[in-house]
Amino acid sequence: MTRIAVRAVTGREILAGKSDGMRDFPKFLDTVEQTPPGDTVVLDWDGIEIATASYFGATLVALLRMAMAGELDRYFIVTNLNKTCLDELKLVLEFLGLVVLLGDWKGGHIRNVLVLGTLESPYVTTLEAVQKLVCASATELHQGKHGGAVIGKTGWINRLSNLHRLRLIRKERVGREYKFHALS
Amino acid sequence: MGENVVQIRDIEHFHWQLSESECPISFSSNGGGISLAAAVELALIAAHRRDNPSEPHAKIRVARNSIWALVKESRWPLRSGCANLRDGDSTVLVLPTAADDPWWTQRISTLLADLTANGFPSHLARSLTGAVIEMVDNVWLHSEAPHPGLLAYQIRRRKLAFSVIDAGVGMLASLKKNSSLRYLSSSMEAIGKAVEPGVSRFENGGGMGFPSLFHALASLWGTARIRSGEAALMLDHTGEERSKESVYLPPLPGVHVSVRCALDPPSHFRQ
Repeated sequence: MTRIAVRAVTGREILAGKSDGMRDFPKFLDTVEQTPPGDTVVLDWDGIEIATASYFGATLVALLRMAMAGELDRYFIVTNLNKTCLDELKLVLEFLGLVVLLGDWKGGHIRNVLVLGTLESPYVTTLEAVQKLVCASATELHQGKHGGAVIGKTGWINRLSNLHRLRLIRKERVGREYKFHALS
Repeated sequence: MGENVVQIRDIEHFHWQLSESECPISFSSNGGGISLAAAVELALIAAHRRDNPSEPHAKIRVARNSIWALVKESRWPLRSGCANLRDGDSTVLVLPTAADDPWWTQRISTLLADLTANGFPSHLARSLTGAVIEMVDNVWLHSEAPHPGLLAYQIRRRKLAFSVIDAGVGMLASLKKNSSLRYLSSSMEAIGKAVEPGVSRFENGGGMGFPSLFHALASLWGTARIRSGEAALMLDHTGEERSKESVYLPPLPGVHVSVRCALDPPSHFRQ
């Protein structure tokens, strides 16, 4: 897990508008690409006074899209957003139907992880089950009847695969099946 | 009084409530002030219609109001950046030509500090400052204007008014650059579309500026007016119900976004 201080990357505390976003996106990408492939990148917005929806759209959303498209093998968690930044990020994520994890950065670890954006309840249940177990396969979730859900193994596979596509959990092949890991 | 003269005693109504059946080419004063939005829009009209570049505001005969005086003094659009004129609670900025300008960053920090100092809670001060930047960014991104835009604002205790204007191509011409929006045929349609989330001349994203503006205004009392071409869209939240009204107007070059908002309800509502 690597923490990146947005204030240090951008050198500013007010980040607003698509123009600022287009200016800063190469800096974000360059910094993220210096982390190992498959790493969880914690984007720390501490010290950022203002970041608007357009700015997020040109920076964080662009990174998320690259990760979802398989062009950037990283997982993202955001932290230390003030209320204004949080509202603006939600605005753009909800409009675009995207999600990202939000957590508290403390002592080199992420805690209290929440989903920002709109995620349907079956996926929330599945994500919570993986976070609780830290690592789980579809078989384990199926056998454990997590969240009280009565669904088949294929249903769990579909949910887990989609959460991985959204870069909310990581996927690892173990033998003949996949194990899914929580990011925090 | 000639056809091209508008009495400004009712300029507030002229700009905010009535049909706006005429655009002033020049105007006369009966001693009253003019609204920030009116002063800024007049500046655009004057800039567009000027026929003598050395005397850009020659057709405007009266400048009694401090806002208008500031707008005149800014000599917009003849210069860009570094024009920061203040008179009491009124500030007029001639925008630099690009976002990445230290002078502009400083001005924005001042706006944020002024809002906080005038009773706006910090998260609202930040939201409003962000919304102002978003509107200004639209000028840089979309106006294609040879001249920079203008930002004017007034901050009073728990109240903010601001106007952002450019003399560019206008919303209709800008949005039609997006192939999926070529069907737009009027400024009225263009404004209606432009305020929707995700709508932009860019085909690869954008269009979150107006949603940010509306989000910032959601918990405030006030009005927002978006004017381009022959149309204006007015959003009114000065009463219990929010209302939206569109009006057809004489053509205006570029785009003018003006906002007045307050933390407290208007006096008529409190009674």
